[in-house]
Amino acid sequence: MYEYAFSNPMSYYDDDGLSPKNAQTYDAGTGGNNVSPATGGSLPGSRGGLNGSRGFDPNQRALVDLAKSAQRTGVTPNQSATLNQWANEYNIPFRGPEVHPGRPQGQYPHIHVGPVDHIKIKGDCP
Amino acid sequence: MRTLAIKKDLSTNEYKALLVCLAKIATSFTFVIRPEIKSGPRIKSLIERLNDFLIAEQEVDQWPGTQLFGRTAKLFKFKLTEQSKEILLVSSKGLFDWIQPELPEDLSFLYQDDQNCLTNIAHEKDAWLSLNSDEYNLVLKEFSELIIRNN
Repeated sequence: MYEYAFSNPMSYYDDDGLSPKNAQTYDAGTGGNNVSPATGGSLPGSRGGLNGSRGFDPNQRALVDLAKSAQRTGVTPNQSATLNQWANEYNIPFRGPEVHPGRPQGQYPHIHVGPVDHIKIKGDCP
Repeated sequence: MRTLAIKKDLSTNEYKALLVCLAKIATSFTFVIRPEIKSGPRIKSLIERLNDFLIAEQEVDQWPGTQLFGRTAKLFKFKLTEQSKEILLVSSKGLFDWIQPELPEDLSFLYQDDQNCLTNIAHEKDAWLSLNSDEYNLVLKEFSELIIRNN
């Protein structure tokens, strides 16, 4: 799933789809993450960003970027579990898998990873 | 029953007015603690302060508005009294602040028969009132500014 980041999304990111880049040298101001605390987003449950105005550390940003990618494609239950594990490891709030039946948002099984909402779960949830 | 959705940008004063209104028609309230999300120190403190009003505590995989897959959460149910209402009033500034890790999740209110009066999915900023005709008219008369639309 994460070949684009050398199968190591914690250390590499690929925001333009052209080539993996080392997350340690990631530039928060130009990294292309449009939902980070540094660019006005906030983490559900963290009130204004994981580290306040300081935004994400490189590992956290790599995970958020990965979640943004997953938001476009959806994830399998196993991939959801992996994102959950990494979110715990890098202190990013993780929520789900869950569903909100009959409500305007979240009617399908989904997860939330930091500021990235409603990542659809593909296939049957356990 | 009629449903009324709560507006997403509820001010602190409107939120507190809503709590006062709910105390007139609801008899208990609930919230959940989800194990996959960290719990900050305020949560333990709040539960200790509400301990005298605790009615039930149980593991659940769903509660009004939310269903989990492959995991459970702990649902707490408390008696709604003047004292417990006061604790709620000073514990948060908004209905959608009931999100871990700062607070338990999804503060909701129940009628005497355990039907939901106010259901809250805080992280989605989605909450709604379920009201009979008398309550509906009371809420519309006293708190119409809280409502955004019929559900």
